[in-house]
Amino acid sequence: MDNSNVIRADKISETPLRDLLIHEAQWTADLDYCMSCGKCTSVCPLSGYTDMDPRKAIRLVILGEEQAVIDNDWIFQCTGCDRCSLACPMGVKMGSLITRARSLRPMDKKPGKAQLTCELHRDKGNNMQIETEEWLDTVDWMLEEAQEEVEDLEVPIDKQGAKYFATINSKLPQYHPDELQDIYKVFHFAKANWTMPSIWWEGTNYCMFSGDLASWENNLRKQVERVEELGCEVMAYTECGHGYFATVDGYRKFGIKPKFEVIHVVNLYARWIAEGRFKLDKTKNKEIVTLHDPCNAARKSVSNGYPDIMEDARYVMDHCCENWVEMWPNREYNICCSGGGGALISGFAKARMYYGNVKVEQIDRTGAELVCTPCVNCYDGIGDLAKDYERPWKPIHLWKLLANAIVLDDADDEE
Amino acid sequence: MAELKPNVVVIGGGIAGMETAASLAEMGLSVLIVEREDKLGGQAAQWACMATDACAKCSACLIEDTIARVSDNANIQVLTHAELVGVERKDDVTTLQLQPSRGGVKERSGHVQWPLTEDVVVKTQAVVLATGFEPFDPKEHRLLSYGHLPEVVTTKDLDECLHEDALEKFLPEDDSLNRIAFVQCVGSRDRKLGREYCSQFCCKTSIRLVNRLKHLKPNLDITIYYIDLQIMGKEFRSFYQKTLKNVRFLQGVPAEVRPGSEVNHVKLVGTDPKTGLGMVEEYNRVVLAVGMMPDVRNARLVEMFGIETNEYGFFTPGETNGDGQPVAPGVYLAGACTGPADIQVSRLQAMAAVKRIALDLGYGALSEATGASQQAEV
Repeated sequence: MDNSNVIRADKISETPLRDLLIHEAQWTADLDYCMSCGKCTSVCPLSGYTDMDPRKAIRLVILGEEQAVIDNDWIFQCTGCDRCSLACPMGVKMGSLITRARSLRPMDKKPGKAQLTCELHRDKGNNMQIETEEWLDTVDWMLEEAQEEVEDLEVPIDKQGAKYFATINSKLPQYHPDELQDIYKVFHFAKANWTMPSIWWEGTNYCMFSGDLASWENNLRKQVERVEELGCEVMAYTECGHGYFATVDGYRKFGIKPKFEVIHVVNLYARWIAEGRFKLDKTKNKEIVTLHDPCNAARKSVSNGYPDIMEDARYVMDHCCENWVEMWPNREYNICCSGGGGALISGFAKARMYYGNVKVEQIDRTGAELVCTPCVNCYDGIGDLAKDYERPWKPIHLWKLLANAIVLDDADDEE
Repeated sequence: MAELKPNVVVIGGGIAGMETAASLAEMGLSVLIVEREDKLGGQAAQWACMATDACAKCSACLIEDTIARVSDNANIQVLTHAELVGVERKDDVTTLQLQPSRGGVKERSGHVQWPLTEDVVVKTQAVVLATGFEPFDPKEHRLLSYGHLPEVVTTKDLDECLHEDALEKFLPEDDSLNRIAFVQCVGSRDRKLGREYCSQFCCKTSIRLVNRLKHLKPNLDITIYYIDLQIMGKEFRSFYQKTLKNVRFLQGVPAEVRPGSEVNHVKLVGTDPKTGLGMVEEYNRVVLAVGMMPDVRNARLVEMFGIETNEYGFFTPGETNGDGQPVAPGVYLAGACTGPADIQVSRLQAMAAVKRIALDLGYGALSEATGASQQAEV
């Protein structure tokens, strides 16, 4: 890529929104193609909730009224699902507009906790300000529990020259530490030469949500540095859609050229299954499961030219679940879990539940008991919907379905 | 092998091709129509008359009229089920090779025609390409759920129901099912699909259709979702003004049809013109106004005749800009193969080609009419 087109994060705020979104290579939204057809608004789950919608926002920016967009909380209620961009017949990219508008909201006027989370990530290396010692304790504690089932299981910490550098969404150690065991098992039974980093392991990036572009870039560069110090070939991005997207898209936006490859872990599961690395018994997952495509790892990845997980997730489901059903619409057409774009912590719970309505209808139609969400944020989004709408279905990560299906007596030596 | 020698060969038996053939034949030239389907009329043959108490000037009746003009004229031969496979131009004579098109003869209707069953060679002075268009297949827009939800149909589907006088195929006879939405610009004005152009006929088609529907079933509650109305043409604006009294027009088109609470109910999201807020509404049927696409087989004709298409795949009239001038020696264009065109525009283009061919071949007012000098021979 030609780096002369890349605007450094700290310079971006000096460029007027309209110019940036029409002319700048990394941020262009092709705004000037808009013909006001309204398709964006028609596919937005938030339509009708408030006085702003994607089309109106585009018109306001084009007409020079960008402040009205920046000041409207709608930009933070938006879950960044980017269905509007998918529906746009002219290729206008709303994602750029939203992120950019958020970046222009003064730091102290950003609602909710997205900015705070972003700053913790920047200052402490992870969103939950988990100290390294505490982190390693959790990793170890979960390892001991996992070893009760799989004796020879190991978690290599900061292993120099490991092939895979695993990222972990900090919600796992904080709220769902048990799930770390599933991740260990998957890497273990895949005989992957992997490592769990002791620092810069965070597998999210809320700075993309809060629109703090400088911190977004900082977090990426710090992590790149760490992966390269360890000499890993692959950053295995574990199930977090926005974390994955913020990484691959951030590298492009900020002109970062890492010496390693970023691969979403779902793509790795599929590769490992295809290579016959696991012995799987799908009758171990008997429930009716449906698959939720995380916006960032499905629609947004495919429409921005990054590898997506849509087909691989289905391949894994086929091998791990006895009864799984598609929901409609699916793949890149899927509807947001209601937790995207930082919505989980922006403080607009009512807005979330409003647009979650469409998602609830969609899941209800499948008759599923479990909703597979290969994304930690979607997991919480779907979980909150089930609670609020009093639905019987529950979210489940793909790593859990995969780990469940692995037949344990087949362990061999490491790669 | 059979050999034919008409003055002019018309490729395509739709409205543009038939008008070209009939007008030339009426001037005394011998004409051969080559049609790949099993009957004349093209796409428009399935379109219904849109008259209410008054004629809606849809021109659908011209199809039957023109088929009759073609059938009645001894100077015209029609080869149906025929496909062009080779072209050669030498000494002002074009030699065409025809083969029976694949798939077998489906039916033989009452029109003058001859389903091609063997290879034929045709020698002629002029070839008119009038190969028409393809309606857009909305399955490409998966969120519109065409083919997925039975409540979603196209203007083409609805037109065919009306043509068959079978409205119940479109909507069950149940007074509670009366909410209909039309969605404009489906497959047109779409940069992502490489089709930024306006298909030009769909707004008028939908406005005529809603008037026809209200005429047949006055209790229907109809909404047209549009981007901006492209309703050029004499008197059409006043026709629209009258329609406004019976039909709701909403600016902004939905890109998604959501399943509704039960069968025969689907949901669309539009924008409330009073409040500017998004609004979800239920309908019993959604009609997608599908645009015109170039025929996928145009690419082969481009190669055979050494002519050009524009970026969308329609034949380009070049600098002559549709005044009937040949686009290559002995090759003329007419109708929707040059870009979106309704029945009337297609006929006008056909007439322009007719005028030019007559002059180029030495017929018409400027030369001495010699009648049909070379009757087609088999």
